[in-house]
Amino acid sequence: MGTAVAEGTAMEWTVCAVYGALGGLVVEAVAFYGRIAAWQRARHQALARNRKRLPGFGKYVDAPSDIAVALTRLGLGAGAGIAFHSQLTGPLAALAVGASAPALIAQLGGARTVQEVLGGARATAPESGVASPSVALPKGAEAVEP
Amino acid sequence: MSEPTETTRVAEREGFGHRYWRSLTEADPRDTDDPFVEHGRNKTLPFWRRYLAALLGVTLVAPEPGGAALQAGRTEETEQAEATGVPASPADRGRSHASGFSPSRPSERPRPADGRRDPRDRRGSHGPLPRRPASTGPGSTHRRATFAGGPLSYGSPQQASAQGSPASGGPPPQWPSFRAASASSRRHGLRLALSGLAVGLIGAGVTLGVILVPLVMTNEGNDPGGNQGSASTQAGPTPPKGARVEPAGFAWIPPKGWKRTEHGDAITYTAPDGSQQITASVAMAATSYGLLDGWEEQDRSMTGKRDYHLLRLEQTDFQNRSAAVWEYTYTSDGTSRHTVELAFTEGVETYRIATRYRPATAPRGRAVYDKVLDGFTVL
Repeated sequence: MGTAVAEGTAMEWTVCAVYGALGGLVVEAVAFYGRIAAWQRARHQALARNRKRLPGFGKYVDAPSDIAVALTRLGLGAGAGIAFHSQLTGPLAALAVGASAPALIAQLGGARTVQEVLGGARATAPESGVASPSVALPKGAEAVEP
Repeated sequence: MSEPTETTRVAEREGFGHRYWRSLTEADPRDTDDPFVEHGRNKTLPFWRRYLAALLGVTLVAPEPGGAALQAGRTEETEQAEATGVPASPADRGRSHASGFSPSRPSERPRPADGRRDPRDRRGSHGPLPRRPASTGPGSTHRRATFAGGPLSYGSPQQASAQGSPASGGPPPQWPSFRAASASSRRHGLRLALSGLAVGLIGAGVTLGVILVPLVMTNEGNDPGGNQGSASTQAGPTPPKGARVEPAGFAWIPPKGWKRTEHGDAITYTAPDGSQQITASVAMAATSYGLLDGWEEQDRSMTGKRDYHLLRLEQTDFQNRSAAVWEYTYTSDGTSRHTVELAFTEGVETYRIATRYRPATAPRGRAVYDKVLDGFTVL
């Protein structure tokens, strides 16, 4: 007798926002680890080549954009947590939802057109004489042969 | 039959486990030659590009120091190639050979014009190469790298050629003070950092504001501002004094001294003598039918069973919200029960406050129930 009761109770939106922001922080932590790993690899390469001057960490960190991106990811995670708070019944779920928003956006960066727009120029063929591609080639992609 | 690519060769060398992991993580088999590792981040592009690139996971690699010189014209390799007759640059090789050269291969990469060996080229040494700026001089035939497009500009390629070329016989190029350039770069970086922080905060604030403002306004819209309903006395996000806040998202003032039990999402308080129970629960709102429809269906199924008598089943108001009330009597275990259920929907959740008491204790039971309703607050 009485109304049916659902299995789980939805979390408060404030709690979901906090867990969602933590999820966004997880994505940022993974990205930051990638920068540290690149820096470490560069140092190892420099040591292997007996270079006296090792590359600094600042070479791999762009503080203004990285800070802005970190805050954006936190905001995106919190926003996703709030948006889905009525369907979230546990902290792990809120964490996953918060991490999914910035991760989903990051997937957009896999498009070559996006890379070209952000890089400002195409990765040039050797005939052009420009040997400084501003954008790394997509994963596994080979440059166009002449 | 084309020459196997470097990716193919690396994949052939690696086992299934490595290839699986690389596919799963979208890692590049040429990670050992990753230009990002060698050159670092590109900080010369506009801020919005760097911001979006970082957000979208696009790696902006810093330009190679020799890029501008290569753009300007000949490189040391080209000069050597002209002297020896062996094509040195990829373009030259591309012209002398049919095809099949990938510019990503170390053997085909143009060497930076500042004389430094391409760090990705691990095939043996090309001999000692002059370094900047110790080898600079009127007699040097080495073409210096010119960072014409970077923040630290050391002069245009034309200037470098005019000043440092042996043909001109002019003085060596004048290099600006590294200290001054470094200080300027630091100030520039600080400005960028502060602007990035400001933009990030604004972006996060706007994002949260867009989401939070409607929620806050919704809660304000639910504030009664007075007693209009039969059972409403107080509402709003602030729980009344002495209220017990439940994790389910509401606060209420349960009777003191009663036994508390929790079953699923329902919280029940039972009188010490067992004559009355008060239950509050929160559930996801049903979307297929309204509250009244669901209870009317149950009413029809209960008719004629267990001495069921409907007293009231109607729409009502509760704290300025549309609510439904269902009041009936029935017999359970030989004892007559009087039940009152009140439910309303707030957002996507349905709140239900119900009581069950013996008809003999009706006046007191109803008073206790009304008092609990008065203190009920949706948070």
